[in-house]
Amino acid sequence: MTAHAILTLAWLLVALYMIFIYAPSDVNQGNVYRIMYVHVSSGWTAMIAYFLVFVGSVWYVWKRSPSADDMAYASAEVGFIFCSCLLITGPLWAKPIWGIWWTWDARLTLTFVLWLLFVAYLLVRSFFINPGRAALLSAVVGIIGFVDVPIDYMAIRWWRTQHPQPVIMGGPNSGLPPSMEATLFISAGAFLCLFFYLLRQGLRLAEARREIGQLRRQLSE
Amino acid sequence: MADPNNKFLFIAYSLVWIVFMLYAWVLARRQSKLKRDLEELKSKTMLKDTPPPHGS
Amino acid sequence: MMRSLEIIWVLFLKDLRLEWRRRETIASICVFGILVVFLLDFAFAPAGEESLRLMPGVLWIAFAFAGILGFNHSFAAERENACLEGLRLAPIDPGLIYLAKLLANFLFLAVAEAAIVFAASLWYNFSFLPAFKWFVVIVAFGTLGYVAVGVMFGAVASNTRMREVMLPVLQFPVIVPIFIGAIEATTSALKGDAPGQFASWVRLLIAFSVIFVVLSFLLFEYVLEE
Repeated sequence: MTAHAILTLAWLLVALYMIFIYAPSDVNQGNVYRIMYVHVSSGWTAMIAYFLVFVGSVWYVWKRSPSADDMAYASAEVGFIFCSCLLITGPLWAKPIWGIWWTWDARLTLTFVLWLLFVAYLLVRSFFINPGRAALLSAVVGIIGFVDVPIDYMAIRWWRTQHPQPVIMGGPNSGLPPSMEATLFISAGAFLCLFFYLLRQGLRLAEARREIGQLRRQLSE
Repeated sequence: MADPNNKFLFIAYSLVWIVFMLYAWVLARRQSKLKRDLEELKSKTMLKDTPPPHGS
Repeated sequence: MMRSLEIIWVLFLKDLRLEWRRRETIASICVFGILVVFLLDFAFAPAGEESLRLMPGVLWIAFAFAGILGFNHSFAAERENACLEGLRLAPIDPGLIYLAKLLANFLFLAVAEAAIVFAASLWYNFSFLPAFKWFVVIVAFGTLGYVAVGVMFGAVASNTRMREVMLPVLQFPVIVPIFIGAIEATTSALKGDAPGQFASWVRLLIAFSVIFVVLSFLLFEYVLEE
């Protein structure tokens, strides 16, 4: 774990350097565009996180392995953090550039839906009357949510092509100069590294919790 | 150079930083609580396994 | 296959019979739906052309809230009398229980929707007759998709505390495509557009319904599992 921590820290520092020193200012947006590196990196990480929630959920429903449930839950929690960062950085980038904090364009709407899916998974989990069933039922929620994502994507896109958007946003990857592209990939990598580090921490905690549960049961025998 | 939008850049990075620091703190607290519980349970289990010596 | 259909029919009739005795669910969701229509009428006080623009939104909001009430009721009753345990022990495919609940809730919501549409046409001075055939098709498939998700998550939520709140929280992100599709299609149909205009939305509604009915059918046994 320490090695992973050091790797993560180093990678983040490199990314930080590239974001603020290496990457040039944008012709149109000046400096504020640098939010993009954190924004897009969070976005990709959040999506991967939700995919892992799905994988963990399916694996749990199939094999009933506690590690599967641990992975699903940990991914949901860390993914929620990254998705929240996505939603925080988005408006902060939008306001200076578009003049508005929020708009229901395709991408933002989808982001919000993804965030709600994370919230749904975590809330259902925390409100279970019988914690023994929490794993199975939240796995069901995770699976249904994931199947929903591509359908949401299609529906929301169709919807937004029907209605002219208030602002046309050229995607962050529409012709990025190589130095920015490199910075973006390094940043995304750093965030993913951080994600997996936090995920592993979550897995360790889950294992410790189970060990405690076992000891408690032994004691009461 | 004093781009008025810089404050958005600053706020964005600060908030992300704060969010992760908060989460790290939450994780650390959970970990220390679990550690305490584990120690407590381990000592209780040991007490159970090694019966107390009878009166001398 | 025939046996499965029989089982679904029996369970469906059971829910209908229960409902017929106390008529709680249908009455309350009709009243609630009409109340929503009424409040929105007051809030927006639409005049003439505005009615057309607002109607799809008003209708689907009313349908949505009526639905939530209905789904919560549906499983609350089962919990109270430990009926779910009984069903679980029966040697039947759990998915069939889901389908029966789906049919029952679809029927209840359909009745409420009829009441809502009637109230809306009255208070907003709006006639649904010109596009009636397509309107019914759109509402039918939109409702089917919505109920498919609602019954599934109603069952999940009934295992949690704060289940009345948990259901909408769970549902909300998942039903986004249904509501986008339904409102777009309804708007188009009511405006008098040719069916070609909203055909793709209807296809979305059908696809969504099929996917989620099948998915829920497969996963329902895990929701019931002890």
